[in-house]
Amino acid sequence: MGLRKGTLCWKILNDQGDEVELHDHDSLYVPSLPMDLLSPQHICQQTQHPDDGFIIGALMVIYTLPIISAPFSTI
Amino acid sequence: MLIFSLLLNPLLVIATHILQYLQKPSPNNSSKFIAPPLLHLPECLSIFNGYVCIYMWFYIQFYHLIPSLPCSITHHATNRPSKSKPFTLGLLHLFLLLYICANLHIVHAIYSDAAPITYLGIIPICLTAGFIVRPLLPLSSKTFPTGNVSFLPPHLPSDPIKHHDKLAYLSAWSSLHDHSKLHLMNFSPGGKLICIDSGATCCISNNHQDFITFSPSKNSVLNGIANGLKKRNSLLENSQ
Repeated sequence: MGLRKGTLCWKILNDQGDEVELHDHDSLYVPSLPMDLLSPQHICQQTQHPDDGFIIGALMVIYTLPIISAPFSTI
Repeated sequence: MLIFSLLLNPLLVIATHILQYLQKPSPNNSSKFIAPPLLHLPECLSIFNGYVCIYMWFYIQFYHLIPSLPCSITHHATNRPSKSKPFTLGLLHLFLLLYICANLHIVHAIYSDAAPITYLGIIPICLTAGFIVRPLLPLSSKTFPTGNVSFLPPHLPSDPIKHHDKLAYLSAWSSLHDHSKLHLMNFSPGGKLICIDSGATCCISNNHQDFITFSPSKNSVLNGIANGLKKRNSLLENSQ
């Protein structure tokens, strides 16, 4: 299966078009999964910036000050 | 409330007659009198009874007989069985009859000098009680549809599958069909598909290039939609 754990680094774009690196320790590597999963609580536990957080109502990610919006599905 | 009101009407009549009998001066003991608080008992009972009757009358009329009010929404959202219309009409007529009887009884008692003239004050109180009680109803009685809202078409079987399973199936299907127009939680525009799972235990990636460091992992239990992904993988393995 090749399931391993490590430090994850996702490069995503914020609302201003800038590239932001999301670092998350103790993330899982599962090659058979069809998509990546982002755990808000896991990232919020590890961030060092006091203003970082997730606003679930508007589904915005405030990660080191830039705001990242994401489409929201309620299924 | 209904049963209490039904029992209160005969109690009112009985209490009035008992007090009427006790108020009559006895030839043997002309100094016999009733304690003052007891004299006001039928008045209090009548007032309370009027409140109950008017409250139920307004409740039944405005929330059960008019289908355009939120009552129909409430019954639809909570799937509670609504009472039949003939039953509601019967209750309404019964309460109206009891209310008229109570008022006629009070008027008759006053006319025949069986009750003091102060009993006349009960009737306008009964008539206006509904307007006083209605605004005092708690807002919690007006329930709005909050839960059990499904965005899936009704013909899809949705009972045994939970929401995170649906999301996992849909995401997996979207990832396997590149030509599909479904963009589910495209967290990085122009990049890879990342699903935000608020119930996930930790972040999961399927690309080893996303990792900076690696370490061996022990068996761990994952929450969130990973349960559904696991089921889907097992289905794919079985199909192959």
